[in-house]
Amino acid sequence: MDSKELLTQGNNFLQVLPHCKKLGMKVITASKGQATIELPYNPEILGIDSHGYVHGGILTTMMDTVCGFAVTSALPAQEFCPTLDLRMDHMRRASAKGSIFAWAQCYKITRSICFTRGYAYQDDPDDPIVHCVATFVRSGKAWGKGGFVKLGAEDLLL
Amino acid sequence: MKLKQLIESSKLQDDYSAILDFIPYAKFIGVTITQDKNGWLFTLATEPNNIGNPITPALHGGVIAGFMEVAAALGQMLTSQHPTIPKIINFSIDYIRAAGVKPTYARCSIVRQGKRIANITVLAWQKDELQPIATARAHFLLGEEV
Repeated sequence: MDSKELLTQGNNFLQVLPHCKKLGMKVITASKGQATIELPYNPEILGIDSHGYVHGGILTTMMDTVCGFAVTSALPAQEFCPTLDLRMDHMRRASAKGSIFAWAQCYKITRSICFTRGYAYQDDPDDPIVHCVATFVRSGKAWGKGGFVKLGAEDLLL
Repeated sequence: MKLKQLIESSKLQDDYSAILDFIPYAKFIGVTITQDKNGWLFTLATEPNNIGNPITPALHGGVIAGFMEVAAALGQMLTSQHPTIPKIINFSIDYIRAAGVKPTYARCSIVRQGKRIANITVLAWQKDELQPIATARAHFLLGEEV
């Protein structure tokens, strides 16, 4: 799949995830194993009203989403991969001034696990708000009609 | 109103909505605070907008993490002798079971509260507290009293 197809697939994917849709997340760059998503400013996502900072939970939601999409884009076939664990390090606060961007990379895939890393930023990717590492479990199953269907062995040989 | 007074008056009335009013994100995902015999109990309402996977269906993992971070921060604030607004340093979550679209609960434990840093663990569950859906650990930087 080329970058343009991945971008379309990513945005279609976010449109069917109710929480991502509600937040207005968009995939803005995508290539095999890498993606960037954008989250527009919304006063409902602030941590403390009067402080004007976006809540850490929103950043975790962005990182879980973009890491998950990086996994999807790296795998040879569509495969359901729930998050196993995720760690966030907060360098500084995200101000409520405009969009937040989150970039992630799926840097290693084994037969069972996908390893990802990423960060979120506002104006400058070299001055990130958070760093994140997350791992995802390969289920060996894809979305099918009415549920999940098993993938063939050739799809899992990574 | 000072934070300490706000917390004290909320405890007297056993109504924590005034605290939650200050945290737009907590309202956005639908967090409420109650107390039971085991301590503070945080509840995440069943909210269709919190769904991450519409097929299983399941809550968005980020919402579960956000809920547990809110619970950790509130748990720290509510139990502190000198409450301040805790600032997140880092947060780590392990997902243990699939989280269905149903009420979700969290309880936190203050592992260490130092002068500057607090270490808090959080357990989240749905049907049974002994079958958690996730565990998390948060470090917070404690600031000036507000």
